[in-house]
Amino acid sequence: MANKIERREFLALMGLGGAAATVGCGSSPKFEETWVPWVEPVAGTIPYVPNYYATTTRESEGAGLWVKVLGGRAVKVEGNPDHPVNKGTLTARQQSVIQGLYGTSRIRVPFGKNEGGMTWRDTSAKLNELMTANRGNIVALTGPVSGAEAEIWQKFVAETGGRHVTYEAFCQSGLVLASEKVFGQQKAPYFSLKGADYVLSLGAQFLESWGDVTALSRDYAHLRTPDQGKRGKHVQVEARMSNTGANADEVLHARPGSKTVLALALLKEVAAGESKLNEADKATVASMVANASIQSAVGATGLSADQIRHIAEDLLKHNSVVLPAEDLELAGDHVTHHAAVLLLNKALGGIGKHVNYSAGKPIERTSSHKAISELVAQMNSGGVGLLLIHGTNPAYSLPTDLNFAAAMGKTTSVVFADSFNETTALGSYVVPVNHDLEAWGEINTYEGVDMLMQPVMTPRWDMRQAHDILVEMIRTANPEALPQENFRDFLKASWITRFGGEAANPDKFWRDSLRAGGRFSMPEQGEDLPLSGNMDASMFANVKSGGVTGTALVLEKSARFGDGTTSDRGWLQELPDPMTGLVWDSWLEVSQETAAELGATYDAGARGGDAHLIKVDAGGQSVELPAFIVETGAREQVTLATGYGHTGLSETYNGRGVNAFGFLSSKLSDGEQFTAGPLQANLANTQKTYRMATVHLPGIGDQQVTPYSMLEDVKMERDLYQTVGLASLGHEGGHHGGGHYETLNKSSRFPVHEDKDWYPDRTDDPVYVDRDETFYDDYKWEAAFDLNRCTGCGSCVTACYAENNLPVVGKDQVARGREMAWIRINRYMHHHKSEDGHGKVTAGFLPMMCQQCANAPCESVCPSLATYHNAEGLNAMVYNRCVGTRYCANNCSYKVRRFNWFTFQWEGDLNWALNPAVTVRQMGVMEKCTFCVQRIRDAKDGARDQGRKVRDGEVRTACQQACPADAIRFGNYEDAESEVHKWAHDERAYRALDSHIHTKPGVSYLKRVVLDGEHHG
Amino acid sequence: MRDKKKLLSLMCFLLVAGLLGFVVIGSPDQSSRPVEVPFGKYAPKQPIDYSHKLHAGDLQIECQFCHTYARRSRSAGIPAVEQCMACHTMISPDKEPIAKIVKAYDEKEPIEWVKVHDIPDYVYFSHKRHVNAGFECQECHGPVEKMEVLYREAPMTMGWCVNCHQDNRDKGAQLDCWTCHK
Repeated sequence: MANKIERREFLALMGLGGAAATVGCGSSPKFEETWVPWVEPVAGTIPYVPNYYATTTRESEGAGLWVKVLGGRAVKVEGNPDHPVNKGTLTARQQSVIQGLYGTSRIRVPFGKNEGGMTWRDTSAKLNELMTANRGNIVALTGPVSGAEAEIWQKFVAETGGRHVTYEAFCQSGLVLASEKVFGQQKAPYFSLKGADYVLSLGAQFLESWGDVTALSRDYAHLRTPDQGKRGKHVQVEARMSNTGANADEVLHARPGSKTVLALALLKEVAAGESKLNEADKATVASMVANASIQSAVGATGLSADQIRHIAEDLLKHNSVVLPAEDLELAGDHVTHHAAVLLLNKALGGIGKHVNYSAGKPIERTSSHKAISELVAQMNSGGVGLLLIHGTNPAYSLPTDLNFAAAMGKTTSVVFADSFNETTALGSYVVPVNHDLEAWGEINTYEGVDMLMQPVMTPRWDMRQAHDILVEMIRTANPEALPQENFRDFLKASWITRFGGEAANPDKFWRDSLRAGGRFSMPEQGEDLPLSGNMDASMFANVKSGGVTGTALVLEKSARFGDGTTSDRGWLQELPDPMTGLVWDSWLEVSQETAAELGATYDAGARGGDAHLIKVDAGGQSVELPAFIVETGAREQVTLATGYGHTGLSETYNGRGVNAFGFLSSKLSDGEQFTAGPLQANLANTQKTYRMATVHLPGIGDQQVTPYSMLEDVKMERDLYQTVGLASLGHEGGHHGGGHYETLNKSSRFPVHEDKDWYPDRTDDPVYVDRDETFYDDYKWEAAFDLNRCTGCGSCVTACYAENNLPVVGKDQVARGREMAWIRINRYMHHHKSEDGHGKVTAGFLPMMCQQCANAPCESVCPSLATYHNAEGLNAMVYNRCVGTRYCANNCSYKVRRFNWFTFQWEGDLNWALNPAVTVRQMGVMEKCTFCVQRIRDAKDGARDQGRKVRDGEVRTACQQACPADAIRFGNYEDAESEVHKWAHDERAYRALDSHIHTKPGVSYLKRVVLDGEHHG
Repeated sequence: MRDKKKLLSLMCFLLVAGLLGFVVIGSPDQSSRPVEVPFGKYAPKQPIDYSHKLHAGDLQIECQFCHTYARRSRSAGIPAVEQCMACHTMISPDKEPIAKIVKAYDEKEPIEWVKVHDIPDYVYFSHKRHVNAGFECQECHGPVEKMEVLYREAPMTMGWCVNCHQDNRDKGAQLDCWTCHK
């Protein structure tokens, strides 16, 4: 009985209903748009042709940036390819700088607590008056500064008779002091995994938030890449499983607070073995670690003696690196711990190679918490006349018991800030200053990494550069002090004096430096330093375990928010936490055992999940936090990440979650750092529930096993995520799991559906006919993702938000499964039975985006032909043709299509960062990844100008460009020499679900290489 | 009867065609005669009464002398005020409406021109590709050098674009939706 319904008939029928509904509203809207050309054109700017400026910012932790500027506005932040650390890649956090520039928290006018809004003239006068009145009693409090910025602050305190204090929430003073003790170096070394084939991390989450994540991820990817049947190994020591641990080959679940004891036991074993230490050093180390033993390590960590011995043997056998524990996890033994780790690396021959002091960070560029402690004490006693704060937010990240707020109440303070935060809320006067993308400056991180900061656009509001105000105050204090009238000239003079001594043309040198983004001459290798002669022999005498019985609260440095400076970024709030998928909120990570003890449950519903609120009493603080139950948790530990619980940002970002810094203690460790834990935690279930939003939901269908799918019937065992054993590579049996993928066979005809009564016969359809060898023109765009390299960090997700104008939809919409991310990171949990019968969980990450299927399920159901396969192998989506039936999304096998339920608005000025090459979609339109078609178009445009084809590597998708692990390839599959073609023909390559449903995806995945006996899928 | 009617209509047609022919072909000194804005064409009122006929027609200034970006960018660009001043510093700066431009330049106030040719935001159009492929500006913009008041000659609809693309496939014009849609 069924009749064939042709596409056009269907539309006509649908249209009839629509027409009936809209009768009477006929006239089309008229609008006039205007052009506002420059009065004077800016040299070198062409409309729609972007300019890139090399710069850096404090928020991006000194990563080299290239800022794309269109029509005088910064629109996107990309990595500087010449920068020795990030080499063109960026983390999600670093990319969010642009949202800080246009964010809703920006301050627009100077104001005083009592005066209210002030004019710039009044502000200037007030500042000079305060400075003159308090001469000799001024304190400048900043983040760590270097180069010309350090010089101007020094000049300021010298001329006004004050002192300079630096503060950052995560300081490295423990490491610096340990370096001084062990090697006599007042530096924080540069850790590198380059050339290593064994990484032992005692807890450092080096693929998320520890150290230079971009560089570490890059070298880690090389370590993991199999070469002639071999690849490096990564062992992570941590109680629960972090994102970094999920990438490790082996996770050793040591109790919280036991890392130093373990490090010493390993040091003893390694030093006694065939280490790289000379005889004298061997004796020194042996005497230092006389008290340590494997037995004590077994007692402290809960690991077996065999496991520890085994690590020590492995360390000696390989080119190994040992990374320390997270500072937040160390109780009071920062120096001891870092010293033990440095000695371990020394014994393994890694000093110079992996722990590089030649490229170290000098002590002047670091900070310690001792200085701020003393400052707060001085403020409390009324000893500070005037406090100037710039580039730091102590009110948010200082320990509660230091009571910074009360101290601020006793001091006249001036806060220079670009955005509102907790510190500006306490300041007597708040002076809005340029965002780093609008400012001049200099950041020197490591030795040989000297970066210039330059304004990439005119300041958004009527603001001033903080350092220009300093220059003015210095000149008021002493008119002779500075020859320059503004900071730019000062910076230029200082830069040329320091680095351009031999330059024939200083002006050219300056311009070249600006163009390059600074001066990069970081030594890749350092010296193997000898041990310091006057090491404290009893340094390790009193090392004990953290001593928490029962459950410990451990704080974790958030990869997205860090010290809280990036908490007001929609992109980051909406970037799911890799392990839990949670967004927009903080949570207490609890293990299944702890949850069972507390009677806490998580009730996953259609609109988010209800978690039990747990009352946490630890370190004298008491808070209520929703418990998120993870199967990768540890019974001994509950975890809380930093970056939430703000009170001073704009409305959207205030009051989300709990500020983890509240648990810090103002007691200083041996490394002059505030200590956090592990803290003895008393947990109680309040029986209240709280709604959470996570993207990891059962039923959505993108996960094999989710934290809530312990029930047998929810498990969906598919082979989206595949692994391969190392030993089986290079052999016939190299393919596991989803079966052998035959490379795209374009001569096969499209399947004709058997039920011809209902489905139209498409064999003559102009869109579908002749889809064989000749179907593709010059190009068939494809992508390939190496799962062996992907760490699940989410940098690609944020890059996609930035490039493709993706809206941030908020917690409620995410909870309903309506997040708009075109690329997402699927996380898969795998359960293994280990030999001793214990269950073991491993996690895997798979970036999932539109697969650009050649036989796409979405295309055939679109009634308006808004989506179709084009001659370049792309699953094209014509937004203004879409009528919003959502049939395509229903039929998509990968759940990668996103529907606009609303016409989303951009908060504040955030729409200034929209990419004009990509349509801003409206309500009722389906959208999805299109392989950055605008970038393909630009590349083809350039190639046609030169009368050639697009070269391999010329088009780089936004996700590929940002990926720190270099896990993405994109290019022309028709070109057999292209990287993507080679990857697609790698023995590890497979195409997701293709063996089941024959969708012919245009995306290849390379299986993750696991050490033998662990592969699955 | 039928033949008569046919003859009559033929004669009428010839008469009209002949008259038109005289007007179009035979009229003397056509370059200096402006074309009026045809009925129904979009010709918004601009802040300054600028004559393309005077500049591009009588004075024979190349289009790209002012619309400098046409060969380099998606957008041909409306000239900056400074560009007007390059000539009008010397040429009748006191005369209306040039005085308005001088005032705008002195006060650094940009002039808001009303877009005559506008394509929707979801369409990608590149002047550069069309100019470099050898198309004359007039092929899309009409006889601009004769327009006293600039009006939109072409409908700028999708069908109009596609027709031209269909006819120019040999020049590399493509018909894929994503050639223009974004």
